[in-house]
Amino acid sequence: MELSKDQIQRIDGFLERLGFEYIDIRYEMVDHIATDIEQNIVNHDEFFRKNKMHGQFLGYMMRKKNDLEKNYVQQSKKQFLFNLWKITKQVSKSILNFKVLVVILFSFTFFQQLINYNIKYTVIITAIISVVVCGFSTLFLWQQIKNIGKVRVVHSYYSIVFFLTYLATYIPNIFTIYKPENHNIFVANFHFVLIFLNVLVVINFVKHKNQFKNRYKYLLS
Amino acid sequence: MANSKLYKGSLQTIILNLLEQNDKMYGYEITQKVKQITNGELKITEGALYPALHKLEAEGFLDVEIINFGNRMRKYYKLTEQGETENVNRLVELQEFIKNMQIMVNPKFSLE
Repeated sequence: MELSKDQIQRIDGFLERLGFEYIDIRYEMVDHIATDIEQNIVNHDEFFRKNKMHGQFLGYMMRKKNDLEKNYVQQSKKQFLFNLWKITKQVSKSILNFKVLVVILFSFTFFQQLINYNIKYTVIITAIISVVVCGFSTLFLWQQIKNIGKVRVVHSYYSIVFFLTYLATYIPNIFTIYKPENHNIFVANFHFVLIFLNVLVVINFVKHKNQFKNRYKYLLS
Repeated sequence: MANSKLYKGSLQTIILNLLEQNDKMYGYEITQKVKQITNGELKITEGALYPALHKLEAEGFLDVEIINFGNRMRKYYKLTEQGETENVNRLVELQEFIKNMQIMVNPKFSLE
């Protein structure tokens, strides 16, 4: 016999209280545990009964707790690495797109002319644009996490953009960007690359946003 | 898992092969099927199964289908075309490995 909605919610709630925040990992664990209970426990109502000091369900979950935690952390980390690899591949693919390649090459050539013309202002303006673009991307993705929910892949996009924002702000420290020692080709090109990387990551996210929404629509409702 | 070190390297091949034979399966079903086929000798833990499934999915060997099952969601895995090819390649590799191991550990009774 299938577990009731309340019983499923108790499993889900238990995992949530353990700190399993990513719904795309959690729901698969819920299904695994629920199937295990359905296959091995005869009286589900008795199993989930709350009025005892130590209910059978709680005992069952506590016995599994360490394995579940280990499993969740492992899955969470590995999924981040898979997502990172996937996003890197998507961004690389976008760069190899003819139109994007033309835009990048054209911008890069123009940018080198600006560096030759006045490196000081080019570095300052590029660094500020880079911090602003990265900052907005981070905010945008943070908003998406609120809309789409705590799905690991959305979080992975957010982590990447957040990391790029960190780089944009601290290499070199944005508050010291006016200092002459920061006015060099490396800093200028570094921020130029950051802007493009950020834009490409966000474009890729927007492209796949509906796919994530559709895939996890049952979990989000 | 019984002697997990020996089975660890073959887990993905086991999953691919099971999915080749069963069209689509979900996580718990895979663990039970493996247990059943091996008469309880091989038990795949959740900690080993799901990362392996997600890795195969990320590599494009598996496709997923999420369906509403009763009062919960269930994620089914099935082989992609790329996954079918990969399964054949891995099975050939595994057979080669078994053949070589037999030659190494028991030369008199090897397959050839």
